[in-house]
Formats: sequence, C-alpha cells, structure tokens
Amino acid sequence: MSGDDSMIADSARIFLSRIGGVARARKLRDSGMAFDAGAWNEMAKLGWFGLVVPEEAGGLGLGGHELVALMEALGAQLAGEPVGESIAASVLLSRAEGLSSLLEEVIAGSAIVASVLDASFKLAGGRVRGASRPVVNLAQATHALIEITGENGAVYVVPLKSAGVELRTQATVDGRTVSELHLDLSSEVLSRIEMQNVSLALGNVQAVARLAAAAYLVGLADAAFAIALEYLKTRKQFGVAIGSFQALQHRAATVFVRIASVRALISECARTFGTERLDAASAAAACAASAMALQVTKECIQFHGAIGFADEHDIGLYLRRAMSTIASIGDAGSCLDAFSKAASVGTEKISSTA
Amino acid sequence: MIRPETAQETAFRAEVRSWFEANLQQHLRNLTFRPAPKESMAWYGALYENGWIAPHWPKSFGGMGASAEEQVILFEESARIGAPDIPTQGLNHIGPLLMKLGTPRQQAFHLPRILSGEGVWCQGYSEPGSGSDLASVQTRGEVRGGEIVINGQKIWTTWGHHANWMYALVRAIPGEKKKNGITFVLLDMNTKGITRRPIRTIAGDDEFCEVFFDDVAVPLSNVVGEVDQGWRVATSLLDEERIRIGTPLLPLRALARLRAVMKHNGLSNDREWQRRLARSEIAVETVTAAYFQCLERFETGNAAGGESSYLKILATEVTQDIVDLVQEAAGPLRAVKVPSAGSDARVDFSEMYLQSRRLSIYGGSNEIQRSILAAQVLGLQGARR
Ligand SMILES: Cc1cc2nc3c(=O)[nH]c(=O)nc-3n(C[C@H](O)[C@H](O)[C@H](O)COP(=O)(O)OP(=O)(O)OC[C@H]3O[C@@H](n4cnc5c(N)ncnc54)[C@H](O)[C@@H]3O)c2cc1C
Repeated sequence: MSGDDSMIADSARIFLSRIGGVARARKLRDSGMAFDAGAWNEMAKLGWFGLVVPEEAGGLGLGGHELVALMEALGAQLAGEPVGESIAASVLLSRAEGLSSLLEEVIAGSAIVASVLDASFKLAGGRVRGASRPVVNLAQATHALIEITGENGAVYVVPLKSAGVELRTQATVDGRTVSELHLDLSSEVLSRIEMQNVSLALGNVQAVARLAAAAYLVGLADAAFAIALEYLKTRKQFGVAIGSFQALQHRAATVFVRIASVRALISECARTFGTERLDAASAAAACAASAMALQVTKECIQFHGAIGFADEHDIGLYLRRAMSTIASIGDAGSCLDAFSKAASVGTEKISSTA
Repeated sequence: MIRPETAQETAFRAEVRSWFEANLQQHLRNLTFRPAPKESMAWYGALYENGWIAPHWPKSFGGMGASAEEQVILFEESARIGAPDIPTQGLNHIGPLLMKLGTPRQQAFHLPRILSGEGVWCQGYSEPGSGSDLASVQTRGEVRGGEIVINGQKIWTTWGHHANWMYALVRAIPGEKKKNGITFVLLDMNTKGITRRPIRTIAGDDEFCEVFFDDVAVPLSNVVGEVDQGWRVATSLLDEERIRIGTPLLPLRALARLRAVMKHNGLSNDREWQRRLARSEIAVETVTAAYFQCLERFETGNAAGGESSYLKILATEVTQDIVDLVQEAAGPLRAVKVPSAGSDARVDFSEMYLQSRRLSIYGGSNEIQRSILAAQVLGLQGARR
C-alpha cells in the first residue's frame, strides 16, 4: 500500500474498531438485527459509498487499490453491511443518465441499491414478472437493479417498497440474510436505465462486486489467522506451546502462503480497475479468494480444538461470514466460467490463458 | 499476467514470440527433459547472441536488466512455445552469488563465461549423509600452502557429468558439524582426481550424478568469502536458487501441458475440464502476482525473511497440482512412457508428472521451507514432532 489506500485502510480500521469491531458482528447476529443503521450512516459520512465515483459526481474519485484496502479492513472486522454491493452499484449509476439523484442518495447512504442480476424477469402486457436467485443482503436494499431479458430487454431500477415486490428472506449462519426477489408489478413503477452499452456496465457492476468480496475475504482470512497464530503461541499442551509442534507449524506455513499469495493476486487485480481486464481479473480474484478463505478459516478452527467449535469463541465467526460472502458472488463454478469467458473473449487477452 | 501491459511490453512480447517461432527448432519444443548438452547449449547460445540469456542479471554484469514484467513475458512466451530447459546453475545460482560476494577477479573470469555458455556449472552441496541437514557436509577441504585439497563425495549433482565447473561446500576438519567450519569453493571439473557417475531418475533421464574427489587440488583464490566462513555464502545462494525455482515458469509449463493433453483427449470443450483449466490458470496468475510482489519487495529493500521459501512452496505446489490434473486428463494413457506426437505437438503424459516430484525435494525440501516460514515469519518456535 502506498498513499490513499493505506489512509483508507487505517481510517476504516480505526472507525470499525471504535464501533465495536468483531463483537459488533456477533451482537448484530445475536439480536437478530441484520442492519446497523447508525454504523451505515457513519460509513456514508466517511464517503465510502462514493469511493470510486468520480469527484465531479460527488464521490471520492478513487480506484481499485483503495477499494481493496477498504474491503480488506471491513473483512478483518467482519463488518457485514452491503458496502461492496453499494460501491458496485455506484459504478453503473454514475455512468447512467438521469440517475444522479439516486446516486446522491446512495453516496449519502439513504438509498442502498442491490444488483439482482442472477434472475429471469420478463416484461409482458405492461407487467414485470419473475424471480431471482437468493441474493445476500438484499433485505437491506431500498432499490434493485434488474435486467429484463427478451423483448424490451433493458436494465431497470425497481424501488423495493413498491406493491408487487416480494422478498422471500432466510437467515444465514452469520446473521446476514439472503432473499429471493419476486416481482409481479406494473412496469410503470420501474425506471429504465439509459446508457450506452448497458450490458457492459452490468458486467462491470458484477466485476466490482467480485473484486470487493474477494478483498473482504482476504481481510477476513488474515484476521482469522492472526487470532489462530496467537493461540498457537499461547495454548499449552504437553507442557509446551502447541505452536512448537511441527505438524501445526507446517500447516500454519501453508495458511500463510495461501493468504499472502491470494493477497498478491488481488493487488494485481486492483490494477485492472477501469480496464477491460477487470472482468477476468475479478473473476479470478473471487475464485481464488473463496477457496482460500474456506481453507484458512477451517484450518483456524482446527488449530483451536474444541474451543474453536464453540460458538462463544470468535474464530468460528470467520468461517461463517466467509460462507455468506462467497454466497454473494456466486458459486465456484460460475466464477470459473466467468473467468474463462472473460479471459478468452476479451479484446485484451490475459497471456496465461492463451 | 493479469497486470495490464504497457504498449512497450506488448511490443516486447510480440518480438519474443516471433523470435522464438523463428529460432526454436521444432524438435526442441515441448520437451520435458533438458536436451543433451549439444542441443541445450545451442539454444543457450542463441539466447545469448540475442541478449536474452540472463533477463534477471543487471546490465552492468552483461545481463538484460529486464523489468519484472519483461521477465514474466519471457516466461510466458517460453512456456507457450515449449522452449527447452537450459542449465541454470550458472545463470540462477552461482552467477548472482558472485555478483554479490565474489572477488572482482572471480567476477571478471566467470560471469562472461556463464553468459556465453562456455562455463557450465553444477552445485556440490548434497552428500550421501547430508541433505536437509546441509551444515553437516563432510567432504574434506584441507588448506595446504596456496591450495585446498579436496577429498570426499557429492551426490544428486544436477548436470554434474556435463558441467565444467562446480561450486562446492567442503570443511577443513572432518567430523565437525559446525556451520562456521565450511568453505565455499569453485572448482574446475577437469582437475585431476574427480570421478563422476550419472544417476538415472524415476522419470527416466540422467539428470544428476555422483561426484568423487580424490586429492583434488584447488587454488585458494577459488574460495568465495573466507576459508571456514562459507555457510553464509551457501545460504545466500540458496535464497537465490529458491527465488528462481519460484518464478511462474514451471507452473506456466505445466499449464501448457494440461492444455495439450486436454486437447489430445478431446476434453477442451468439456465444461468440467474447462473449469479445472480455469482454476489452474488462476493458480498460475497467483504465482505471477506473488513473484512480482517479491521482486518489488527485494528492489525496495522491504523483503522479509522467508520470501524465497514462500515463493518456492507456492510455485512448486501449484505446478504439482496442475500436473496431477495432466495425469487425470491423460486417463488410460497416464502411464504411457514415450510422449506421442499429437496432432500439432508432442504430448507428454507421464514424464512431467514423474519429473515434478523433484520440485518439492530439491532447493531445500518443502518441509524445510515450511519450517523456515514458521520460525522466521510466523514466530513459531521450537520444532517438536
Ligand atoms: C532432481 C534433483 C536435483 C538435485 N540437484 C542437486 C544439485 O545439483 N546439487 C546438490 O547439492 N543437491 C541437489 N539435490 C539434492 C537436494 O538438495 C536434496 O535432495 C534435498 O536437500 C533433500 O535432502 P535429501 O534428499 O537428503 O533428503 P532428506 O534430508 O534425507 O529428507 C528426507 C525427507 O525428510 C524430510 N525432512 C528432513 N529433515 C526434516 C525436518 N527437520 N523436518 C521435517 N522434515 C524433514 C524431508 O523434507 C524429506 O521429505 C537434488 C535433488 C533432486 C531431487
């Protein structure tokens, strides 16, 4: 990290620990309260939701490295708010025409726009009908970006408070929620997004969401490992610290290599922000980070023995948060398919995929 | 590489690609084993003539002084065309070491010869009784007048039967196991008293050998560093060696094999196999990313202990994972010994799989690298079993 990114990382770390750190994630889960409105408003004041929005559109005008730094900090303290989702949506809103007031609301935190792209919505006879696959954090959104396929195909914004909108919501293992979006409403409620090459922009939304989630997972895994490493040095068995057992040392070294290398990959991906390579790069980041985060957080539980299996210990929160985060970016198969597709059809091919 | 290329880099890639196409003979492409010295050194010489033999050497020592990106482009293009292995002990190990710790005379004599291929080097570290526990080497090196007289045996010496120079670890007082009794010497393999015997590998090639020393006299001016103070020299070289093993070259070559076998066996359009390929491509990009970051940390003086161990573990294990997939894709052909001439290229089913077992053994085994990381980076003390 060099300049803006380390400043963002520092201020995020300080802010997130001030509002409760990892304990906040546990508290929110235990209270059944998925949304911490106070925290959300403060995040807005820090300018996070406009992080990558150009300054002339009211944002901070920063890029990939800052996004990664912010998301790592959020992951490290298990902040579950839809920050990555909001930033991803802002990328499209800032390029569309006539949506500047919605963008302003997003930046101010008063609107949360979810991208509901894995869905089949159809427009016929003036009505929009269809359902989406389950979307993490959708229950917190005020608006959804949807794509209508077939005739009159286009991208629309749906206000989620409208009649004819139904969310079928389930709780996740870490205190978040996942919801299907069911629509049966008049198309007049929707605003159609006017912009050049809207499908490219949608791809971009997904790419930014993937990069953000990947960085979140790196921060999360790294924080889990820091806890585990401390435990390896302090927990004693057979009269010695368990970290002196070579079996565990070697596994810890493997965890270190996994985290460090995926972090390196994501830093490369951050460099592609704003280029055609972002699609392939972010899919690569998501695949690599998902597999890494699961391996690392499971290993960290193993390092703890039974206390790691007990809900009262924080180490188990990381695996469960990794699960919902991975759910937010699609399964491994779809990320791999996205990578293959983007890497081979892009005009700027990635050389290792030649 | 995922890193966006500059126009200059793209032009460099195009230049490399077309030069490789024009200059690398067909029968030398997609080989798993290092070709015999004559052919290997001919390719080495061609790269030298073109100024590309030592991308990572600074210009002041006659190298290419390539940027990290240019290095990766060379790796990617080498793997793409299936360029053969050339001997690397001079280029990757002793050359960089002499730049750091050699005398001006040693540098002036050896570095140009390494570049031209006139000097072909081997590494005399391991002995029958000293592998991971390298500091226990017993080969004797007695100072007599202006010479060191060497008696003993080295083993697993890569290309030792083809090399004309060796760098070796010897000790003045046998039986000791002290790190500060070791001397690092350069020796001419044509000196009287040296006997060599090739050893065949599980993959079927004669890649390494045994070397016996019987009163081999070497001038004291061939000592690097001080007599008895060679351990620091030895480990500095190991760092260099592991960084070079840790480049994306090996994983990229494995990836090219995976594509070739998938194509040969009609799996290129199979969705499950496409996903496995994508996963492998991403793993290779991870190695490239790690390599870039390590080089940057070295350049900016921010390298942490264990960097070379980290890279070595990462690159070798990604390679082995990909080669596992090559085996799986080979299916019933997995045990076929002699590669088949595929529709447009040589397809290797088993050679690289067997050969790649070595990756986690040499250069300091991956177990030893994990112990180094645990102690130096993670602060986990005291190895207990
Ligand atoms: C293809 C190839 C080329 C080589 N080329 C050269 C060369 O050119 N020059 C040269 O000098 N050497 C060379 N070597 C030798 C190489 O450096 C050694 O093989 C290596 O250092 C391991 O030593 P060893 O084989 O004696 O195994 P050992 O040290 O006997 O190890 C056997 C097993 O025990 C494990 N082990 C050992 N100690 C520990 C420990 N403390 N904790 C946990 N596990 C441990 C090892 O990881 C390994 O799995 C080459 C080896 C190969 C395979």
